[in-house]
Amino acid sequence: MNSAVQDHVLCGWRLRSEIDLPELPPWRGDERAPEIEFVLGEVPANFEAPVLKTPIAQVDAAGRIRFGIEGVCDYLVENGNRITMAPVLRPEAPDIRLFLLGAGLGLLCHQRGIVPLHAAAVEVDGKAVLLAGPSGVGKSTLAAAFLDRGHRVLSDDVAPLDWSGPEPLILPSLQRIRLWRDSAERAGWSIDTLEPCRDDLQKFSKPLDTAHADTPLQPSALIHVFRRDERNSGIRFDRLRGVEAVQAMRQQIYRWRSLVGLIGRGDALRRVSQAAPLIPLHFSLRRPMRFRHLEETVDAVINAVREAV
Amino acid sequence: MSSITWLASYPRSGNTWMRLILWTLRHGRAVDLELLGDFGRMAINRQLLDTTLECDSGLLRAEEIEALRPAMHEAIAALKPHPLVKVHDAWRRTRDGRPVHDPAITQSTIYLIRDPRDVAVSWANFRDESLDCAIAYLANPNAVIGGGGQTILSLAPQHIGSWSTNAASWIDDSGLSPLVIRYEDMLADPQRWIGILVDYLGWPAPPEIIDLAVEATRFDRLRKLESETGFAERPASTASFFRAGRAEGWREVLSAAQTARIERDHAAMMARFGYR
Repeated sequence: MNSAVQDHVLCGWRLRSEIDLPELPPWRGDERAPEIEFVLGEVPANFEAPVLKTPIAQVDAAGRIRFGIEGVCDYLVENGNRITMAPVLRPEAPDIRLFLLGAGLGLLCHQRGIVPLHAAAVEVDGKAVLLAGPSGVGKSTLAAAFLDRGHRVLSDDVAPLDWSGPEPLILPSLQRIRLWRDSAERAGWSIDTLEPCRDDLQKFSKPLDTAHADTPLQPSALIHVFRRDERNSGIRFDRLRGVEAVQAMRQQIYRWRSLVGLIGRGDALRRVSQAAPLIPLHFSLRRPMRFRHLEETVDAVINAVREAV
Repeated sequence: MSSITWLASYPRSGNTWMRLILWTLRHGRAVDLELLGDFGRMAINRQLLDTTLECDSGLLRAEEIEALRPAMHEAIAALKPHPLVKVHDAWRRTRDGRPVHDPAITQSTIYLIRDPRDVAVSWANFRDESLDCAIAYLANPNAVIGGGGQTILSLAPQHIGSWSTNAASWIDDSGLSPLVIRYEDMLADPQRWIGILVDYLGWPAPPEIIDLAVEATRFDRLRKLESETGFAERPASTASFFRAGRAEGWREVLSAAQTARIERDHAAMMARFGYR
């Protein structure tokens, strides 16, 4: 097969994969060698001397990471450029891509010195606004609401911050947005036509097509999204500065414990404290989580960012 | 690694009240609702789950989380010294026979029990459901909280069983020999029962700290705090998390038929714990 057909672009890198990745656009760039490889192969069941071991993930002193979802696939992430997969399911099962392009991508970023933020990233006035928070806080739902208003989306879950160059950049990640059934219905998606992220999981994936921001953007704001008690019906923004902003950002580092396992707590904290000031604005956003507040939340985010600039 | 203290109960049986008491005893100052934070939170709290596993638990199926729970509790026991973990789940084994709440990692277990007639009234209010729905729920041995799967919830699914099977699973089946505290006894004589509790846990607690814990966690104070600051653990289905906080309120609410149904559903366990 012609490699130009086979290769994909992920976060701007040339990716060669031994499994099909319909959610990634084909590589149309130069003739460079692939920067990332996804291959099928053997994954060790256990590391001999892990520095981090959880029921799912292990990190060793050589900087390798293994994680496994029983009955789905085991993954080995190495050198910031290679993920080996040992699938249990058939290789084309969406479950395998779900963990590969989620946790796998986040861990590759750590190995490459890029900071993966647990955040959706949307384009506002030509820059990236990051909507950060733990699973279930409404990142993707907010990203879908921005999409409805004509904003392009860079990522719906993990936003890589590349701070190696002269200016910080948020890299575009997957060309799709994923919503749970209730949010997908609110967004007017016709669920029957969409692929579930996994069999038996009521979470659906929709291609972004032209609504995907396909070039890196400078970050303008990191917004920490919290759920607010419904009784306080308003939307509340608080500007975070200095140490407070760094501490809040540390909470949003995707797979923080794996990073600590890779480079040690001191270096991990230094990485965050150096990267945080590269994002001009930091806010906490507390809002009631009902769908009917979505529109006003989008307005409030845009206004908060514009007023502060 | 015998380290976890389980704070187990059927829902609406004073579990959060007990966490507030224990917080005050451990910190030696009056708790407020915003200080409680992660103290004694459930192990299946989404954020704790994701951090403990280093995984997006929202992408796991319910049965995968269930299979991981023993290992996850082991990881929690290894992460922090002597964690206190709230549980509404029934004590049970996974499909491959491992105890979900394993005696091997258990330091102590407290089981709170409350008159099911009051639990039914409180549950109906909490879930914004009819009393009859609540009564049927209390009798359902297969009851699961959060098993619907239409959205991501802040907690993984909890297999709580019925009011009777929940109590029997912890008290009789677990082999954990829990300290059983009746909600009504705690209300009637909190000093005495907090004394028994700290003796059981081996926590040092001079009388003035016990008095402070009693005062700081009176329901009128908790209600006032909730009305001022809200409470992060309150679900949208109920106007306030802390409600009456009293015993035998059911007498003014339940019909004779409703009362009879609960007494029939739970006759053996009610008799055993003196609920006449």
